[in-house]
Amino acid sequence: MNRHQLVALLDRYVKGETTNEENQLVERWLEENGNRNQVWQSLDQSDKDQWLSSVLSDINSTIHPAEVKVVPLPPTKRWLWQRIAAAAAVVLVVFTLYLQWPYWQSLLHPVQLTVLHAPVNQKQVITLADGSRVWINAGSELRYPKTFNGKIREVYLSGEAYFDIHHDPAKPFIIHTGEVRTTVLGTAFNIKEDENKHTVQVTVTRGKVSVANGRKLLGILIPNQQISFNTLKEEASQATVNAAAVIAWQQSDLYFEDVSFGEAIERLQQHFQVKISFRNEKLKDCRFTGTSAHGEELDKVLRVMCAFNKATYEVKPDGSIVIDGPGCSN
Amino acid sequence: MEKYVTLTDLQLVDLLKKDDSDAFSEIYSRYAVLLVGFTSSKLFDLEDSRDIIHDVFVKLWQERKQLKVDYDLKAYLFKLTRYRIVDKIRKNITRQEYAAMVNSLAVSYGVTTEQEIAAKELAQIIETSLDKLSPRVKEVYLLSREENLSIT
Repeated sequence: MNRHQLVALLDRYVKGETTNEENQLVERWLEENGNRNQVWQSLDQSDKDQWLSSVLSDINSTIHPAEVKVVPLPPTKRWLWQRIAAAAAVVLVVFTLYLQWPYWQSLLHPVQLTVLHAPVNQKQVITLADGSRVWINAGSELRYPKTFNGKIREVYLSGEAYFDIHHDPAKPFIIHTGEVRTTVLGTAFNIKEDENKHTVQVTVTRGKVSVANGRKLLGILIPNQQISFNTLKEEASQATVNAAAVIAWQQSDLYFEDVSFGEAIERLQQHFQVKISFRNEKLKDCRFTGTSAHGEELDKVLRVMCAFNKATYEVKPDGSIVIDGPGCSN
Repeated sequence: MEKYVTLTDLQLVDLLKKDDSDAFSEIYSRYAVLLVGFTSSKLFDLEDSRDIIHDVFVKLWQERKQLKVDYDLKAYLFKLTRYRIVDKIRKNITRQEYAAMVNSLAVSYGVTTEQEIAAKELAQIIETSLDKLSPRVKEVYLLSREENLSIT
């Protein structure tokens, strides 16, 4: 359905010309979408009361126009009004500074960030202070505070990571990837920065995520939606994708990228809880790249790995495994 | 004003029809806060919520004579509000926040249209298969489906 048809649908809805099904559709859509960061919610009770009574007096002056009285103020009093206005302006500035205090404070006392760098051949998983989990892909880096003290939770990413954010409506979670800001309350999603292609991609697997470049909102994503932002052209495009495929790197437990046979076997030992040894130590230095799908059997993984490294393996009566072969030329 | 607090919506509507402006104020204090909560959870500018609340209550006053006595006041106010919210979104469709909202409508609309087509196809398949059955068996099937009678 294109934009033109959507606009026509909304027009018909407003005029009351839609069918029952269309009504339900629009109403369900309205139910599920909207503005999370409402100004209204953040007002306190007296502000709300004041707002409501000012709207009511507007309404009353519209429906009873005759009762509106215009009272001109004498010139001397205008001075007083100006003074009050000036005083109010000062109060407003002070109040605004007070509201933004956490921001100024963060400038004055920068938060100490811990840097977690995933080596080129290994992923890292970390649980942050708030219980959020982050899977950092090989070669990527996450900077995060030991504790989240302010009104927001903020971390910095370069490279690729999958986030499963602990829900906390009072403390939004913001991920900075260069200038791109991804803001969430509690969801799961993937961020991939590609410095060569100058792109940042955000893909959502659960919940809702808003993505902004500086102050400009790029879009609000729901599951299986992806935003690609070109940091050079400052252009964003949105698409529906299979999010499961995007985060496959995080789910495949065994992900080998340019690792030595020795390192790979060490990880297989941990993963499958078996003892594996080399008869020919030279094999340990063979390097290769490969992924093994989540939960795949050890047999299958070993067969592929050994074939690749011109080796064979043998299962001993005690269950341990011995690998043998001539070794690699590299 | 005091006594109005204890009145039911129906009694207030009744008074409103007799141009009782205190009844009007009571309706406002009962529902304006709910309605602004609703509008501000959908729209990105509180001024737009202000416009809508203003409009809805002016409309309520203008239409007071036509209101039915047994009107569900709350549903009526929410309905007026919902139309105006959609209208605001429609008028601000070029704003990024609303464009994103409308995009998600495109997604759900696409899905339901596909589902409708699938359902129609399925109905057709059932229809053609039924024609291959003997008239008696077909009748039994239709009765079991449409009249909820048991097969035995």
